[in-house]
Amino acid sequence: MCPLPFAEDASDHQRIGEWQPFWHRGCDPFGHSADLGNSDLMCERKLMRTGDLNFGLYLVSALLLAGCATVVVPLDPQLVSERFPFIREGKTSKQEVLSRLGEPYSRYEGEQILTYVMCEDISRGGGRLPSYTRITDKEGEAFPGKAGCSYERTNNLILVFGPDDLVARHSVVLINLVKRLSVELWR
Amino acid sequence: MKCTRSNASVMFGRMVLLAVTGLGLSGCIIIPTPSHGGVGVITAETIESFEPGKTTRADILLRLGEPAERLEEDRFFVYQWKRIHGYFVAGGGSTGVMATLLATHSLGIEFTPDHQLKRVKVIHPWLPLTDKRSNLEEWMAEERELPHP
Repeated sequence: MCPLPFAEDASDHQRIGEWQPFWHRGCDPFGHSADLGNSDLMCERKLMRTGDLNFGLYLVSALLLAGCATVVVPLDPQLVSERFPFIREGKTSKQEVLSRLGEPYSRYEGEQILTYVMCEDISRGGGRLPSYTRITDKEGEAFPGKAGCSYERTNNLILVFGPDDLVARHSVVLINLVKRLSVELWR
Repeated sequence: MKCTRSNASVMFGRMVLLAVTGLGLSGCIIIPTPSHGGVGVITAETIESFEPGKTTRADILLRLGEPAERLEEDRFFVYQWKRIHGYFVAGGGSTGVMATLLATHSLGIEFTPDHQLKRVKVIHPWLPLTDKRSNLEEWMAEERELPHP
């Protein structure tokens, strides 16, 4: 405990049984009590444990952050239609999709389902509204060529066609692939 | 027989304790945790929403995207995600290194020839850095001997 430096300590006038607040007035950078101006056991102990405190804080914050999971979820249809305005259910043909987006990543059920793998362009999307380097150029037109993608930020465009080869249903699924092992350093 | 088994389990426990103590003394420690966090997680609610005989392959693709694996001409889909099952910490004080220990979770889905969901299997490993691929293969082999309906 850091005794108050002044003779007129509040506790001197305190009656027995009365609630007494305890305030430590802080440590200066050299481990001295701000109250005393001298070395203080409490402050010394605090400084000695700063390293452990760093580790403890790091561990706690890492655990708290690790508690957040990203879940596979389809993007809001409103955002999908903003991003791909040319895709309209019951109107857009498979031919148009192929001519705008190029070869699909996968085909299912005899080409009734086409999928495109895309990546999030965080430089353009600002991290909130994803845009896709695989899909659009600067004018918003379809970009059939493949662009370099960050593997951890992959999304899927899924297009289901009806018997008339028009888009019947579609979605964009946000898939963030996890790194194999994340290693972090603290100092 | 019972005595032998109990001796073996005691021996195993001692070995684990020795390994943990050794790691601790050498400045590194493994902290196992319940599975948490992770990226690209498929939730139990999502899996429970799939109904055999009703949900189609298209429904699942629209909901989950590309599978990690397509097997036997799309009779089986396998989805995978990783979750944190522990931490590896080395060093201490003001410097050190911490790594998350991940384990792979798998969702196996089987479809009927008319593209409907037949059955699902979820495999949650309980140890980090493990991959229970064999369990999934066993599940897929369960009805492989039977003719495809």
